[in-house]
Amino acid sequence: MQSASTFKNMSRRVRIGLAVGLAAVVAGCAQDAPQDTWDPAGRNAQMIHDLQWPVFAIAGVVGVIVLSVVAYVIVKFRDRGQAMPEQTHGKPALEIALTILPALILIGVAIPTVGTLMALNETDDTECVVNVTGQQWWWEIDYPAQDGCGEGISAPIVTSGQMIIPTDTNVLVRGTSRDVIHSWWIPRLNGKRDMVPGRVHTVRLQADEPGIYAGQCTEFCGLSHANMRMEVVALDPADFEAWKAKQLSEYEAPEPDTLAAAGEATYIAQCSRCHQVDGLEDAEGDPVIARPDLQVYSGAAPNLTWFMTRNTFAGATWDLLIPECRAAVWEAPPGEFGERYLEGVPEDCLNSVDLREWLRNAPAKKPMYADPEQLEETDGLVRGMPNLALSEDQIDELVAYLLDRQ
Amino acid sequence: MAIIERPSSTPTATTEYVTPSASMGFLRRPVETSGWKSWAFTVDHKKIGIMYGVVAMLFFFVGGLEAVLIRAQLAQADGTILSADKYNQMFTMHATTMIFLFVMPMAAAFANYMIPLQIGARDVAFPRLNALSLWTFVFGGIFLNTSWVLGGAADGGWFMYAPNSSVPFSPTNGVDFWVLGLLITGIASQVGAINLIVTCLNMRAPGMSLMRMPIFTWMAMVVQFLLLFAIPVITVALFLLMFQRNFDATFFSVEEGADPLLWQHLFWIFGHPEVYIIVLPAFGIISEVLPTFARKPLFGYPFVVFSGAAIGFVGFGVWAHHMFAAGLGPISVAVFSVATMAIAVPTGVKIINWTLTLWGGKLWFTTAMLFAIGLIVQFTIGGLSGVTHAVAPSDTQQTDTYYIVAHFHYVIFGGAVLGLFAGIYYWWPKVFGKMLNENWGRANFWFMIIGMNLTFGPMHIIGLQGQPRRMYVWTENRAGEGFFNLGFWNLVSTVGTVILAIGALLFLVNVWVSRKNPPAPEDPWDARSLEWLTTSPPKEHNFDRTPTVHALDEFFHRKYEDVGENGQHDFKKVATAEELLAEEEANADAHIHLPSPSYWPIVLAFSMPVLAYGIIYSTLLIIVGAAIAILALFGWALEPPTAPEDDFDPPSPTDGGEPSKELVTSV
Amino acid sequence: MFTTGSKLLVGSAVLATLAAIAYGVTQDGVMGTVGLVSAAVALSFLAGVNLFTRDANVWAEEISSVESAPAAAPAPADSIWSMVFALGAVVLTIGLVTYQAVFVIGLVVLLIGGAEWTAQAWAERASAEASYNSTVRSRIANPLEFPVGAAVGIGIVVYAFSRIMLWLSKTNTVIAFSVLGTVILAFAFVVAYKPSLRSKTTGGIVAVGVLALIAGGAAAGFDGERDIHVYETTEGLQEEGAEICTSPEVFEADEKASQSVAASAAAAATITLSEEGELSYDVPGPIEAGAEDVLTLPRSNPNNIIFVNESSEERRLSVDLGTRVEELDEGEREVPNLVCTTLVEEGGEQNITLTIGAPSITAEDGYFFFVPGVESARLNLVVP
Repeated sequence: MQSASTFKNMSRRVRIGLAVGLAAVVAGCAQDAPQDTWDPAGRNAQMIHDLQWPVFAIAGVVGVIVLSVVAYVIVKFRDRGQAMPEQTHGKPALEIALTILPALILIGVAIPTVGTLMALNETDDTECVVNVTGQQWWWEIDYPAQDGCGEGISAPIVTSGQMIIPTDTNVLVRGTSRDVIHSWWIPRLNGKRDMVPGRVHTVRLQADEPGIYAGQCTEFCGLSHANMRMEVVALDPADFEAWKAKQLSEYEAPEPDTLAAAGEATYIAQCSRCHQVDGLEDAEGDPVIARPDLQVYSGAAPNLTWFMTRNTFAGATWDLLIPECRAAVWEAPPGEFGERYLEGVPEDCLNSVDLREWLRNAPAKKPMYADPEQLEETDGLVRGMPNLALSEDQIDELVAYLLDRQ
Repeated sequence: MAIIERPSSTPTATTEYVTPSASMGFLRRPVETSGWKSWAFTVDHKKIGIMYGVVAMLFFFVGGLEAVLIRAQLAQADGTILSADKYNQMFTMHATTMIFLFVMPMAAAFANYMIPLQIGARDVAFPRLNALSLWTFVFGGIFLNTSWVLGGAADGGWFMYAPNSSVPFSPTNGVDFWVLGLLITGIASQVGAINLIVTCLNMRAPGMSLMRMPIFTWMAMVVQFLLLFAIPVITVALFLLMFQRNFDATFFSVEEGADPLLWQHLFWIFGHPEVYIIVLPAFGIISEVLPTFARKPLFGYPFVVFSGAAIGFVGFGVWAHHMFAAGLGPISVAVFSVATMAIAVPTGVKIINWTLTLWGGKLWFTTAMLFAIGLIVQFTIGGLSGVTHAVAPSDTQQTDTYYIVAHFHYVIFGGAVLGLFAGIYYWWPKVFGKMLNENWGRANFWFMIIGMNLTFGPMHIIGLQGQPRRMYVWTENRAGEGFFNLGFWNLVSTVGTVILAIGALLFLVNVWVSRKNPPAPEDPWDARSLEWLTTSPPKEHNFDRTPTVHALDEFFHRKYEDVGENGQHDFKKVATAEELLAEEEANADAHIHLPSPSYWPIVLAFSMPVLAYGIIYSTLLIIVGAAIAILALFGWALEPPTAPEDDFDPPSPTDGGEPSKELVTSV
Repeated sequence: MFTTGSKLLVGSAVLATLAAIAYGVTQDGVMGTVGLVSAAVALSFLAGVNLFTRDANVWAEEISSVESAPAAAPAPADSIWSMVFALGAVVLTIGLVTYQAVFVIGLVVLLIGGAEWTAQAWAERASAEASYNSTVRSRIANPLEFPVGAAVGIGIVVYAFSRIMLWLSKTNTVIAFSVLGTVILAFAFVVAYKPSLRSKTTGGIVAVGVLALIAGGAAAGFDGERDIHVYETTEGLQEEGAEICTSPEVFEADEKASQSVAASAAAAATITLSEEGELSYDVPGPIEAGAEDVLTLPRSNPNNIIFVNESSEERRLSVDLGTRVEELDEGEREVPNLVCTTLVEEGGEQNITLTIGAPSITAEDGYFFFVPGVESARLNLVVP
């Protein structure tokens, strides 16, 4: 019968398919993805992983059993010309047994699930609080004044794109959003938590070792949802104190008559409407306070005071470091990582191509809604950085000034 | 047959009187029995079912094209095939089209066609309402897709979370088209639900108790109950959003104190039953297909029925598992996590039952059977990955990544779509009177299976490796090292899409190639349920004589008799389908009255997109649309379901004296 | 023999008279009474003329010929619609001199009466047989009557119930609701399990129930709603914002204060005024160590703050956000930028959504929360 050969092929195909699939899965896991959820680097992600892989294993076993039974049935009971089969309507006892068994397995899964869930929502053991605010399409990170976080934080620190935390510290991220729903996710450190406007959600972070941990916004938030990334940088306590000291140190104006000094003037003229640099003073000696709430719909723009102490920009979408320097930082072993990271962005490591493209025409580089023709619905406010039509000279000056911000 | 009204009293006075139908000369009922008008104004459930199926299949290819474009964009890092804006529109419309314009209507096609036949009825309870459902769906689907050329389609994702769906963040009219399109197709589903529930409860043949009802009808009825309670929820949500966008309401305005999670709750209270609405019809279909081709009855029919009902019921209590990362708080999350695990149990029961149906059988591997077995395999995989994210902490790692995309495509494509194709191949001979080619069918099946596994299998991997969804590009920076990194698997997935697309096209090839096949027999598969006790295709009145039902699988028991002794069962064939059919014809019922065609459903359906365009563009159109709707409703109410004799033209002498009406009167 | 036209006029005249009496007795003004009495007189006069001239209806004289006329001749059936039409006209006229609501009711009744009258007249031309005519009339009119009638009926029942719910005290509404639901459920069980119950009985019981509900609703409606503590949110108060937000007494609120505590889940902060007059705050997760007397909020963010008043007086929470520039016709001026809640009763809560655009260093004294009337209540607010 024509169908007979198909079954042999099919059962063989099924077997081969399963084998190939399994191999692919195993092989597919052998790589170094920065956002790998099966590579925990902190206590919280570890708790999830310890819960997760047994469930996968159980599911895998159940799957193999079911598929094997199906494969067996297909082969054994194919039409070989036998008589009409017995018209069984069911065996209630068997049914009930096969219903209770999965129920028991699931109860077994449910109990540790609830336990882990409660543990992951614990906030009493917090040692450091960091606020996170999402907006289209970047993350603002600020450290409120507090006694925790190492030796304490005396004044608020505002930064964006990269969150620096001390290793082996229970950090509580307290987050919200300024416009639409975003989601904070650093896979190697913990699961994600949505950042909802009007609400404040908390999520724990803890990193065992120094290193840089990649993340992405994982709630669809509009045009550049794909271009909204962040990293968590864990530094050992000494390095963290050094970082903090830098962030809290006084603003140093660039040397007069340098390109950077011209850049400072250009910055005040072009950028300071939105971007805050703490301690910057204008020609009259008055502090320059940025008012992005008057320009941008979400009401905020990244704080650029210590811009070059972090190594990504524009929603952590592009690196400030050229690939060799980037690799040196990202792939540094934990012992050297802190030192490499605290070097910031040396001039010979600066990725000026992307930075200049961004300054030249930001909306062309990253899809945003900054078109002045279409601003009716947002009361004339832009969403994202607009095209400032800067000249090449201005861009040179600004790059020099920004390089000075470290 | 329609629920009959009280007959109008015959007048005893002069013949020169005013009757409702004759007084409105140009609004006489349609009378055509062939040509496009007989399709446009029909109330016959079979024609309506076919139209549902054809339009749904068309939207399948529209949604499939959208998917191909998405995968083409994601085949490589930093793809440039689609801009960010177009990509966002593409994935929104892909999901919306596939769910609302393909899977749900295709299930409705089967429900419409098969339920009356399976329960021994001649039509559904409310035939004109049935036509309204169809045309509302068609016009709604077209309306939704006109957004592509009218300023851009909706771009907020099919889940359309607030506040991203509000005007400042989605300034084009795309979201308005989406909202109104779904409101319109929601009417179609809601109305159809009421119709089919009444049909199933009231119009079963004599002797057909609920536990003798064919399993497909049972699953379809559960689906209608789910629709009945779920569609109002999304209607409310859509109204809130429409008022937010069009009439300056502040339901989702955070500055005014609103909570964006309101939308999420409303959407998912609909959204979770929705996925059972999507998959239960396919479950019903293969619960028919597997017994037929295993030559044994469905194993544990009561268990399958009750587990279907349980899934429907519990399905309303697990919606927040779509919101595990949304900040609900650990207690709520724990409750929903446990409830979600609970709902895996009845689903598992079905898999067991299907496998045990095959056990000990005499398996005949037609294309329909291949699809049915494919469903068991693929849905098991999809269901198990679902269990892994019923565990809420794991879900906080998996949600919004490609792992979830893999899960739901395995259960929707591997579950619902394979089941629907099984139904298509199974019932094609009955509906169209011709067999589909088995060799092309096999090619169709294998390309689809291989394509689907190549497309969605790797998504498990890339999801667990951290690639989030709804991203118009992915970058090398996050792709990982080695050959088997995200880039590799994305490429494999895209290649799989091409194979899957070919598989889908092979179905069309099969339809084309089979169009000139010889007529199919009445009962090509030696099947078990009542719809096969008809001609292929069935006559307009379905059954010559309303059958009296004595058992589950009535048709099977008429063909086969148990001649075993002493507790042994031995089934011998005592009658062929043709013989049974001839017997029915010989004892045909007298006076079969069928409901008559009508203009009003399609006119009323037409008023809805007019209203919708009016809300978006111009108040004048609202008034026009409302006027058409009110007039259509009034005309519909005036019109009796079955037209009196004199509503039809008298027989014309050139016609050979044949009346031009399609009323089946006494034989 | 009363013809149709004279029925209309007599009815109108009688009603106008009654209305004049009713109005004159209950209302103060004399103009209305004068108007209604004039109407009554005029209508009576016209009615008299009409009766005298028999409305030019020749049939009215030949009574015997009417009774012996062949069945094929159309004979108008009994109808109340002309009287309803008259009633509508009179109520409408009364409404012109009294309340607008009465005018609207009169208009609605007029339109309904007119429509039904027309439908009946049209149907009567269909044939000579009354039963067939009524069938035809039903065909045409029912698709409008039933939906509209049902909507109106349901509306009346619902409205009556809502008046009762608003009249009872809060706890009593829960009791009333539960009792009513139980009664209906019990009645349903009785009906279901006693099919021998005559439809007239059940119909009667339902009718009595509905009438009681409507009567109760009317009574409750007239008596007025219970005292519901409404938090006024008024717009355009910014000019007076300073006066209100620094006053411990004035009741109006800033437009961003709201009664709803829907935003109470995951609010940015909950600020509590204690019995001793101290302000303290709580946030999701623990408060940063060492930061108990300073609340930090992100700028340009819609922060939901819940104010809980645990003192024994009505108090409001106000926020001092420095100054802001106000546009005037002649130029600008700087005014204090204050935002506040309404006066919250003791034990009460109110949500306020604060979106602060400028950082706190722009304000001379920084930002702070305070409670007017309680000197010790002050909480600093830092917006980086």
